[in-house]
Amino acid sequence: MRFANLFGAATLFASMIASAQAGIIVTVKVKNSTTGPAAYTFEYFSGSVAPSPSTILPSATTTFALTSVADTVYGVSP
Amino acid sequence: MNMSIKSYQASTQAKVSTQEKPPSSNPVNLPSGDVALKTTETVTISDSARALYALSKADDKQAFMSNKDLKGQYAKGQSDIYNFGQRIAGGNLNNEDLLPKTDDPARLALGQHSLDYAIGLSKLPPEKLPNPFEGMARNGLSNIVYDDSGTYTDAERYAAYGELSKQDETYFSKLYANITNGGDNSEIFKGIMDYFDDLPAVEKAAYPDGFRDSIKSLYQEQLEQSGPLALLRQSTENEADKLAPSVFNKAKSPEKMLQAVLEKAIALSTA
Repeated sequence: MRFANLFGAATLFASMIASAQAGIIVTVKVKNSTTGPAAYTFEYFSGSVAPSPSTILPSATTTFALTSVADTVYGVSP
Repeated sequence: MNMSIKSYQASTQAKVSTQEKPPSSNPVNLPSGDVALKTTETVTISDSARALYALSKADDKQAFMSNKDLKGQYAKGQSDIYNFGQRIAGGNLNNEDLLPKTDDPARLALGQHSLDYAIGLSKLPPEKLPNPFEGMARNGLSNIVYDDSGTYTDAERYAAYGELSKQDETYFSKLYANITNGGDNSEIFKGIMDYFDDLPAVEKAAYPDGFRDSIKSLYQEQLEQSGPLALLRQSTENEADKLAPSVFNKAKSPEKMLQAVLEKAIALSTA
């Protein structure tokens, strides 16, 4: 299961654009409600993600933030 | 933004039958220095001791690895965790490699409780059984997760990863709860830098080159925007001022923590 597929790229894209300004932080919370692990990855983003994308175990939640030094933030292409 | 990953697969009612555990005394033949005696001493090292030794050497080993090798080790660790989780979710529990091949009771207990924990998570709804690694220091857990020596079973590494992820989530969810829209987020960037600085080399390799410089730049920018008060706060920073307490428990060595985990696994078995 790939995170990029689950993400709904358009949703994340829209959210990030909406709050785009230099030094902005976008937080994303993901809960894995499946019976198997979820691997999340990305195809492209501008900025820094912390913590680094990693496997999410079943019933676990992970919170990560994307920070940007650019005026426009966009990422996780479909 | 909150997201939820859901699947509509049938739940996996997985059970593991008790497997035969071939005895393994792990003999190590040491050459005797006394030629006249012509004796050979056989020293048996317990599997628990082997695990403790592997844990104690992990940091030294990583210190001599290239960045490329560290990235490879990180990727393999993540892949192993993912593949094992898929295997458990698929109900593929018949192979003998799910438990440590040893007759060391502490290692057997740790392996069994780790496996029980993993199987519990794969059920729908999840059955949250005790994680034998709960409370172990983060970087000791990391050494187990990214160990490639075969010292630990996949189930043990999976359970260690579960606890590692839980501790990281506790840290970051608390840290990010303090993000302000348009306000001073210098503490957030500092929290990210503190976390990154304490990571083992194998996990640092997962971040892109220049990651820390990028966060530091944002941190400095925030301090400049926030004026002299923020700079004053920076000069008086100490551990107690941190918004989120460090996830890196350095009070105990990883080996002592694993020893405690092994003892707890035995206690769980007899409870």
